[in-house]
Amino acid sequence: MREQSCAEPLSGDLLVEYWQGELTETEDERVEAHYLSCDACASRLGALAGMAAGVARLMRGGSVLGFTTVAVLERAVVEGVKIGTYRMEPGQSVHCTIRPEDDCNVLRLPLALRGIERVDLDLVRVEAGQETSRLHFEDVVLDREREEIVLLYPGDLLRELPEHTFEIAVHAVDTRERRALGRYTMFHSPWHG
Amino acid sequence: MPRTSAHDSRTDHARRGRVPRTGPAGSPCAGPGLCVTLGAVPHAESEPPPIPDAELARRIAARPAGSATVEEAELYRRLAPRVRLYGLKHLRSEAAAADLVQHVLVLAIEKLRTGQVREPERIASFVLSTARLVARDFRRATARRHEDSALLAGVIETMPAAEAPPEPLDLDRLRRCLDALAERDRTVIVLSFYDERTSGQIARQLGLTEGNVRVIRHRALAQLHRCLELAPAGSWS
Repeated sequence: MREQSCAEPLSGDLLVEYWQGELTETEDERVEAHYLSCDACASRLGALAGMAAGVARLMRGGSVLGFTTVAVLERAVVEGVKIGTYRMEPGQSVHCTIRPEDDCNVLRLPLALRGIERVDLDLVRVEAGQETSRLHFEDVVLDREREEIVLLYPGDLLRELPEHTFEIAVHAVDTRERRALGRYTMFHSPWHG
Repeated sequence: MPRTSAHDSRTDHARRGRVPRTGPAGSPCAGPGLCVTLGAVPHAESEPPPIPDAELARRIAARPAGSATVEEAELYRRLAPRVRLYGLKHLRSEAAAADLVQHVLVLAIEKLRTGQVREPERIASFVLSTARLVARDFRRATARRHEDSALLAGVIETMPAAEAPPEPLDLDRLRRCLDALAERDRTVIVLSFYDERTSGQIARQLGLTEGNVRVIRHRALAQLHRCLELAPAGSWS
């Protein structure tokens, strides 16, 4: 169907700010008055709402890979997401797996982050004594409020992995130096029951 | 709740967003500027512009109560997704938003039918005011959503079934698009849409400035829209 056109479309940023609750009440009312009479802008807001709902569904399925915050983990647990948690202090090593009932695993690395501008993280995968891959994350996302690095790893990706070792190195980086904050080792095995 | 799936008189015209014009059929137009009767087409081959919401409302109000069924169905079809968005924003629940849609639009059309909307051409404004009041009631848990009064029942019977919410996105594709984002961009999107954080809250959590979070969010959304082919170019970039 042909949609009514819009002579003065609301900007994408304004729609996001509205959806996220960042506008004043007066601004909210202006946006609402517009899209209640505008198919084109309502359609764009609908697309944004659909994307937001999709992201939430992926998170509830444990399907999002990446750095996040402790608050997100806490919300996910409340919502029933099954998470295998590995919380490690610098120098520690652990044996890890992904249990059948878990949607994802999370690696939690608490660190004293005050005064640190930037943190880099290296993730080295070793199989049968040979390095098979190396990922370098520059300026990783930090949960500054809770002083942790929190890395979510989807269960379906972990289940594809053979037995291997992850060596993790975390460094504080500033203009003058690169200083080690912690090294960690994870011995991963597929679930054997 | 008794509802018909689609009223018999809902024609193909209405499904295409057009309503058969009123008045004497076949009156010739001297020129486009004189084709004031809505639905008239200056050129037979081109699709006529959709009838504005205000005109649909005016027609409903002008006719005997319940006789403008095609216009009512079309107005409902247009306004339902917009009121649903209002409901999702304020009630944060698909079920509550669906309830809101039905309640608000049934009330609006009933008021149009009975001449209680003083300015039918400002129907969007009327619907917004009604949505605010009903949403407030819902939040106060004193909603009248299960009250099927005799007054409303007559309107409900002639409304099309509430349209299902839009199909959810292809999650596999959305996941690939999310994976393609830079780490920080993906984090900001998840904090925004899953944890429902404002840019200010995200800035405090991640040790960024609020402006930086907005820039990241804008960039990430533009990339996601392109990846998902959701919006016309320029809408988010």
